[in-house]
Amino acid sequence: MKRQANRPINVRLRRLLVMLPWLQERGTVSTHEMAAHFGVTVDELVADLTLASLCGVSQDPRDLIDLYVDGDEIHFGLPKYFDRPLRLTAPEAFSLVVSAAAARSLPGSDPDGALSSAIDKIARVIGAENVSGFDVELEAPDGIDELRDAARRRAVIEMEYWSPETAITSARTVSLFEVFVEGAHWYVRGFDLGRDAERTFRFDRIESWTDSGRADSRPISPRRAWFEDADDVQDVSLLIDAGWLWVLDQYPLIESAPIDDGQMRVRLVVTSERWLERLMVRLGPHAAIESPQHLRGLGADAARRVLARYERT
Amino acid sequence: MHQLERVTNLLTLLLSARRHITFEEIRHELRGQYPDGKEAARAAFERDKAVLRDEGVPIDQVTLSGQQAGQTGYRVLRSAYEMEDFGLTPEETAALRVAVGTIRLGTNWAREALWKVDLALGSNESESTSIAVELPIDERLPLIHRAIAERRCVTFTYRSLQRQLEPWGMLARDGWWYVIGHDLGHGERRTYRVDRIDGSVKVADPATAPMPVDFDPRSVFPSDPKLLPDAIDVGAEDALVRVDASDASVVLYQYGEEAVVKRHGDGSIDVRVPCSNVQAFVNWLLGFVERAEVLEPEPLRQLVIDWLAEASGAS
Repeated sequence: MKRQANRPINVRLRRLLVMLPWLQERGTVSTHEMAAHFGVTVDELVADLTLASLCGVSQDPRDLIDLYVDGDEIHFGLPKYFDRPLRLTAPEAFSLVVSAAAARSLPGSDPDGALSSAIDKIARVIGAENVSGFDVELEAPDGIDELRDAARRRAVIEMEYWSPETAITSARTVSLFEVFVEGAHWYVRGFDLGRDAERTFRFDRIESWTDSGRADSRPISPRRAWFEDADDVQDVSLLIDAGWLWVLDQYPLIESAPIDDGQMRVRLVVTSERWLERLMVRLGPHAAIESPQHLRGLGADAARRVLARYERT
Repeated sequence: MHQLERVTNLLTLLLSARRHITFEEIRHELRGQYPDGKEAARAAFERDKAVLRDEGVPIDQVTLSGQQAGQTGYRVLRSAYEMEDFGLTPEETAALRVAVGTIRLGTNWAREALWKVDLALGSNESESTSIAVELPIDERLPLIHRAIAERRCVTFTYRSLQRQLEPWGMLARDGWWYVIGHDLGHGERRTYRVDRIDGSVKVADPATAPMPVDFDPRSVFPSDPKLLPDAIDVGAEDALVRVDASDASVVLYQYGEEAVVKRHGDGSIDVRVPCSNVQAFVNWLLGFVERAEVLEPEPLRQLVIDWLAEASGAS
């Protein structure tokens, strides 16, 4: 058996306390199914269950948790201690209720449907004050429903997509994975057949789209962090006036740390110099590129270009 | 012996106890598992209790009387430990499953909750929903939420200053979480963005100020003038902006046909765009780089020119 690599005791205990009643509900289950369900490896699962089978109020076999692992199967015997899972913790209850409330406000959700009745039933047990006190605002723009439905059908679509860096609109053929919202924007994720790579498109930059009538069955890959799949990534360090950090709100920062005089040093991932140029013009006199050195003049050059337009008129 | 084994044994013991039991009794029952020395054993027991409490196990602790007078007794009441039955129908648990798959909070809490709520849930359930919401939360949000539910005050550091807030509600907007409440230091309503809080949030004393009846965080938001730093007056609420043909459709998507003042032969358009928050306006405008230009009002145009001059190193 593999050594248990750095799994903290609290995480193992937490899993165990929910795995045991789950197992009791089933009696016999395959190690693979159970490991997949609880997001652990089979080795970790077997190690923890084997340990549990040695636990009880005494070392008398009649007192031990009644289970054994037999090859690829786990068998549960008589219930003794953990018939029910541990009560929801505050973060668990909050997360569940937030998920339900947020999902209810998505387009296509029935406001009086199963989610609402589930929240009402949970409120009756844990108290109305524990399912209220917050609000999730999710405004979906017109047209999101149709794209979501197309993604559900696994449709391949043809779209006209505008890029803010080049100001060029291009035709893209995309096998849809999902639509999602992050921060203030909605996005469409899919496999760009023309570029033979996964791409994410901002919804408000899609000028038009049509269903090609074809469907795709390629597996949907889980979403990766922004830029994880980009080819040409630069790590850029900026010095920025702290009062202007809000301009960067919607971008992932690698790190940010205060330095003197109300300035911050931030590092961010840049995949395109055109994008960085726009950012630097938007920050204007309130930020400067620190490194890499060859990009230091980028913002000033772009600002001069924009200024030239104002001097013409 | 592994600590996990000892902690699990301790929990089975506390759950099975018919009365509160003392540390000495626990040590006797779990003999051989705690270190021999009394102080080392006590320290190990304290660590075990901390693990259980951190996981949310309700260890009931009382000072005993009678023969064991003065000693501390421990017990876990099954009724307080066990997950309640919410009485959900299969349709309701299925809806929760989809909700948890759709709303990505960036933590495992919702999934762990679902495991507890839905013991019938198997591993082969597909949660592909075609739609997803990225709504990251962190450990401060459940704490603030608890303070709202219990009508308590929270304390935290924000922009290097210590704050005391009686929170009334939280709002997630544009992916950010805000907490709105009565700020005791400022004696007025304030809004804070939770991810900008420095470090941890502490739940403190009961709130004293009355909370507005039926408080709706949306109704008072945005309320914080600090979200609009250096308010600048350019003498107008709207600006006239010329946008090149290449970018016209994006602007039309944002502001609609009704914003168009004039269409030019080359496909460029003149549009009216709100500019009462000048910083936000300039940030939007310069996102188009040289493909857009503000024409009016004159003070705003001059402000953009000065901005660009300074940024280009000409000033």
